[in-house]
Amino acid sequence: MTISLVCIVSAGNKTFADSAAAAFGYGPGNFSVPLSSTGLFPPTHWCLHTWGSENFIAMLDAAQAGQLSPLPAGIDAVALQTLLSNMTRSVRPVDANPRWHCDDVLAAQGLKQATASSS
Amino acid sequence: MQNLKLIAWQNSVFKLTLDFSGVAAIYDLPNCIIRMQMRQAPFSPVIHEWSTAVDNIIYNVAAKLATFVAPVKDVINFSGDYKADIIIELPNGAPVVEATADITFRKGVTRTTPYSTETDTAGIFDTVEIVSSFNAGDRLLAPPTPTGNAEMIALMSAAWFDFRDVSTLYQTSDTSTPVTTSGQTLGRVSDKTGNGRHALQATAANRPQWKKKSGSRYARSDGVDDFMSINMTGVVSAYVIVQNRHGWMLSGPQYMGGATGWRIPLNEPEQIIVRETAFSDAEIVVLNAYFSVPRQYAIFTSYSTTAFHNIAGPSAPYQITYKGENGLTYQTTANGQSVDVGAQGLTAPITVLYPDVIRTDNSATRIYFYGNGFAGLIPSMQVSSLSEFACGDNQLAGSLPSFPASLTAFSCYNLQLAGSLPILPASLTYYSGANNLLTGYLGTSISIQFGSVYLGFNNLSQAAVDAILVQLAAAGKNSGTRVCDLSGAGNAAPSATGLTAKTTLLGLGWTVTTN
Repeated sequence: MTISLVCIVSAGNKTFADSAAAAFGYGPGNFSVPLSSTGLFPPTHWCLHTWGSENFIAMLDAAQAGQLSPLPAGIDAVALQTLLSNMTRSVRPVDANPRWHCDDVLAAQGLKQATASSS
Repeated sequence: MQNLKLIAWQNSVFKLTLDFSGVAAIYDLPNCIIRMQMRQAPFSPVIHEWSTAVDNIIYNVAAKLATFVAPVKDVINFSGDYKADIIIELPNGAPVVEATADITFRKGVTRTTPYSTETDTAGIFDTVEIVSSFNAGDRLLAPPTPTGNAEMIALMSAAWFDFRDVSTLYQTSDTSTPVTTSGQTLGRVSDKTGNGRHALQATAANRPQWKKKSGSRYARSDGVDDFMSINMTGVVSAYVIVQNRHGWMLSGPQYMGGATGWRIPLNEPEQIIVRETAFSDAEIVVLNAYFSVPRQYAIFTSYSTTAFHNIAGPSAPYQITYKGENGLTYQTTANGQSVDVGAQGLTAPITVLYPDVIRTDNSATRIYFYGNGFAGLIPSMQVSSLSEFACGDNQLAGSLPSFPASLTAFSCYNLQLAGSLPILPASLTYYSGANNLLTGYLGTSISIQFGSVYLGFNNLSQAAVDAILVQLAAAGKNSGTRVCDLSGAGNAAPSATGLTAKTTLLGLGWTVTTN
């Protein structure tokens, strides 16, 4: 693990983003943090934080450029390129504070973690 | 406390032998360099270094004993207080500080030969005693008896996760890819009881890291989206022990309600132990000896360097301890305000220790620590004076513990709590538990005083939704605050029985929201 990675997709892209990640072998529901500009439900965006490697980033870059093959069954190359082009992605060193990393990216996008009202 | 006595050996050489079996279980010691560096104060120059590289530490592989050797000419001038770090230099050159000791040299000198003529062969009769206090939580020495793993298994019935035992850890949710080094993520932690309640995470982005630092081995959440779940089918309530390198806590009974997605607390645990029956006083004594770190009322970890708590009632304020990733510690009795431990030099993630005295202090009336990003477990709340408890907006996992009879208001919104809502005390007027993973409700009646129910965005079953509505309607509260929110994704819609009760509540002036 050499990097800290934060990714954000719109709510409309969440289903495809999750299915694409699952098709690549990363399991279901990777985009699990609901986001909105108000900090309340319903979410308009979803994000994930993970630790990864430079190779993983290179794979994302190749997929975004349409240069990754073969793709897993059921994943359309153009749809994947579009998803990755519209996905917010931020990379920091692996020892970066992951919470602060995520908070900084959300702030830059005008988003907050969405939660139910407290009362 | 470990008292060590360094005595003259064959009149010329001082020797100190330590049991390294605890360290040998972790590192390939024959291929490492063992060092002990002594200083007068932290970060000051090294006064003396022992090392296997120069043969003044001799490591016996078979016996797992390290003998520190010092000629009289080196030791003779040591006097007073020193700090000593014992360092394992790994084959790749990385140094790991295994233990730090406070060492005091006390000389009872009876010398028959002047030092200036000493030849290290004969004639010295100095006796030098060192009294060494190793830091709590170090793993230099072998874990104290009386318990070994077999006895620990006998103490538990539901599940045991041992993050110190790398043979139980996997990067994937199956057993195809073992964990081999610090920093890798955890997809599976095998249950050591044999009950098959493995902690699993199939989703890559949600996997916590396994960390190895200063002899401790533990799981660390990223504070954003990491968690691990276990299947608690068949377990209604249980007692949960979490131990990390700073302390251990016991919470229970926690109402698991047979949850299939019960999440383990990720406050950097070295061990998590789950049992369906309470621990006896005798077993607590055994556990105290086994863990070798103090019991705490609560242990939390957070990536934030500020924390807030507000505890009312006790005549003397509690001393809360903060421990930074960089090893610095800050203790304060500040209460009712946000504490910035970053300003004290502590780096994230921090560990926050609430003293064990809170557990039995029946003068506390209010405990608040909401909005801190704390990971951990809700501590037991059996304090007979406690009226208000607020722990929402954190990353606490596990289940709800039982409520004390004195409780009037409880807030636990935006956490990761699975399991069931326990029996509610008659004094309770306010419950805020939205945005959790709660599935069930164990109560059979609700007091007429109960007028604020916020349970939106959980996983409540239809039976639970119905039961809450029916019991509220039966209580018949018709004045004051009357709000019940059981809506939101995850919760079931009420059945016809529940809808009838909802209609009754609306007639009593309630605001009721359901799916």
